[in-house]
Amino acid sequence: MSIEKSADRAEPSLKKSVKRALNDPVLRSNFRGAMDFLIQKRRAAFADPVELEELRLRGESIRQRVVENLPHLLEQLETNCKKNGIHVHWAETGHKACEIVLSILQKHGAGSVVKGKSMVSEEIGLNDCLSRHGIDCLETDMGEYIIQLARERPSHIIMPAIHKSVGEVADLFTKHIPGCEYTEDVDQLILTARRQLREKFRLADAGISGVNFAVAGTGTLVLVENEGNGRLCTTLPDLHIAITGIEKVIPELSDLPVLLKLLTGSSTGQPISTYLNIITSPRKSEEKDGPREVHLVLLDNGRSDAFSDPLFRRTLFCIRCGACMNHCPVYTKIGGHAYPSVYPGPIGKILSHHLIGFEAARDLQSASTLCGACEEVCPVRIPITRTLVKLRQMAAAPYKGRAVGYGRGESFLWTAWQYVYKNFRAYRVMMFFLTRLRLFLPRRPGTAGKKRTFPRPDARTMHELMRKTGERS
Amino acid sequence: MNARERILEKLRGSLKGNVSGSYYHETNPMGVAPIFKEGMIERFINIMVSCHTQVERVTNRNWVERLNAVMDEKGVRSLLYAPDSSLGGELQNHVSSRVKLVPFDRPVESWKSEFFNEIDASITTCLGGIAETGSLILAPSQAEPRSMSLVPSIHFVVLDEKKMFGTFSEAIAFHGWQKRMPTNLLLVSGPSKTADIRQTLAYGAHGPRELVLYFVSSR
Repeated sequence: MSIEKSADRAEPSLKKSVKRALNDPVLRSNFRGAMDFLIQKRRAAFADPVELEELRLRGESIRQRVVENLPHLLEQLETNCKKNGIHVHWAETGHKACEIVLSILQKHGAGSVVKGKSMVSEEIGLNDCLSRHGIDCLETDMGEYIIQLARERPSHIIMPAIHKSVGEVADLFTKHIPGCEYTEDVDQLILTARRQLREKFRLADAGISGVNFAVAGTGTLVLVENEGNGRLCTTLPDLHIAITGIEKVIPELSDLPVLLKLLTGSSTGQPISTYLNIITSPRKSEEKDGPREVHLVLLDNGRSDAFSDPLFRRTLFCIRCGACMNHCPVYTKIGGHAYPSVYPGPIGKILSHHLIGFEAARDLQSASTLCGACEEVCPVRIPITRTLVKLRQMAAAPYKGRAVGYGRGESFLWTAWQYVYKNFRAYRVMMFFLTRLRLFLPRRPGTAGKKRTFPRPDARTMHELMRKTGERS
Repeated sequence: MNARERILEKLRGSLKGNVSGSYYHETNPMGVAPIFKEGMIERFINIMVSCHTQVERVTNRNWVERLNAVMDEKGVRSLLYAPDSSLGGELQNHVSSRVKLVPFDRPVESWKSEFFNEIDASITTCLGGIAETGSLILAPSQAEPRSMSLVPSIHFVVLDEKKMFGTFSEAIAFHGWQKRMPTNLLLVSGPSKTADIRQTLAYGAHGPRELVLYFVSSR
């Protein structure tokens, strides 16, 4: 299954992609295994439920303070970054952000670029834009590197190649890396990728990265990673461009430990990531390494639209941990590629309409059972189910009571149901058909599986039995 | 109005009179008092070991000797070091004769190829350790550039036990970083790793494949 990366391309409808995913046993088994693994890791990391709740309350509170004071914090971030020698750019749309990055690279004469993991760069289709202008942008995060070879987009925001089995990765490497022999030994595969990318790091003209948290109080960029590729992208090339959504700012450095613990614990079950890279300025004159030029691009791309509504505003608390999708029964079954949005899973369902418009994201709201598992694990307590319900109401409004995916058949059934249940005689007649004649009952239980048979209802209704008992006594 | 103005204007308009203004974390501040002094060192070392850091417990007197032994085991023939750091002198005097000491004494661009391909290991100091998460605090400087702890496949670090903190918050408060940050501050919690292939943990992704900590105690 190969879907090319592009922010503008029309994706297949949700229904079609869901059907395709559900009929792919390899995909389903890969995802089930991966999600179970991540669920266990998170559970082990937050063994104390009281401590976890306290952390979540603090995390939510910090993010609320950020979102409610965003204009001021962004100005403070810009001022302090500039003081530190970091150039700051503002982009209203993804398109504008790509233009900004492109012009910085072109001004610098950068031909080869190495890139750390950044969902924002996926959101704006940066790689495609750069390659259209002849700039080679190589993904260096292992998962992103794998899917770049496969010409696919990420299926998970933390582990982008989570849908790929070892065999598929081995095939990709054999095909695209010269001299690489087929092996399913994970250590060998990682070593191959390491060797392959090392030269690229050494020779790159520029490095592009995302930002996990931008500290307004000190004008600092915080990057979280395990592999070291992020540090290599932001330390060795002479030019570093960081792109982030405007909501990623945090007020003070002292706010970082709580959010960091929530992020690493929720996403991969670690107390901390292998590397925490905290960048405050480009290379100073006496220093011997580090980029001489550092740029920060602040992206809006619809985020400011979420602000007018206090409920939607909370969507922007998200710290991109991925816990919601790990626990989502829908995501587990269909995987990230089935979603027509860059961000999959529960967060994708409530965020996407701000980024790609209500119409394009319409189907997403119905792709949920409202079980609430996502909001139970959300480290910053985003009320995901409440937001989904509100979005469904909004989606239903222009369709005059018919919500998304509401076909004529379903509409007729509900109208008929309403009639029968409001009308006493019609109800009695229906009950007669169901109990005495056993008509209109399904033979098979459908979703309950082929091995079950439908239970036989009694020939008398409960009402009748009670009336009989009532008459006797 | 440019993009900046438009974005800020939009945000201000939406937020007008529409905020809670009271925040749990501010009305209930967390203390930064150290929480686990007792057993802190053991906890620190256990977490580091569980993340595949090799920990050598040494004293001020024998750390170079132990360094030489480990370098011999691992076949290290060239060691990158910072002559101006606190380790510089000791290394120059006592490092094994089989190991070539290479100083990081010029800008990285002038010797990238040698740096990437001919250096087996590097050795740096660190600002401290964080017990809660098993992390080392590095603040690269003029003497010890950022890439020292990043490019060579083996990274040796020397940490004095007196520089231990309980938590990251404690370290932030102690060093006053809220007011003034170093150019680049790093928390390193093990050798590089990834679980991107079949969620199987593999060490030695892009950063150092091995991290060896020399934990210096007075005893």
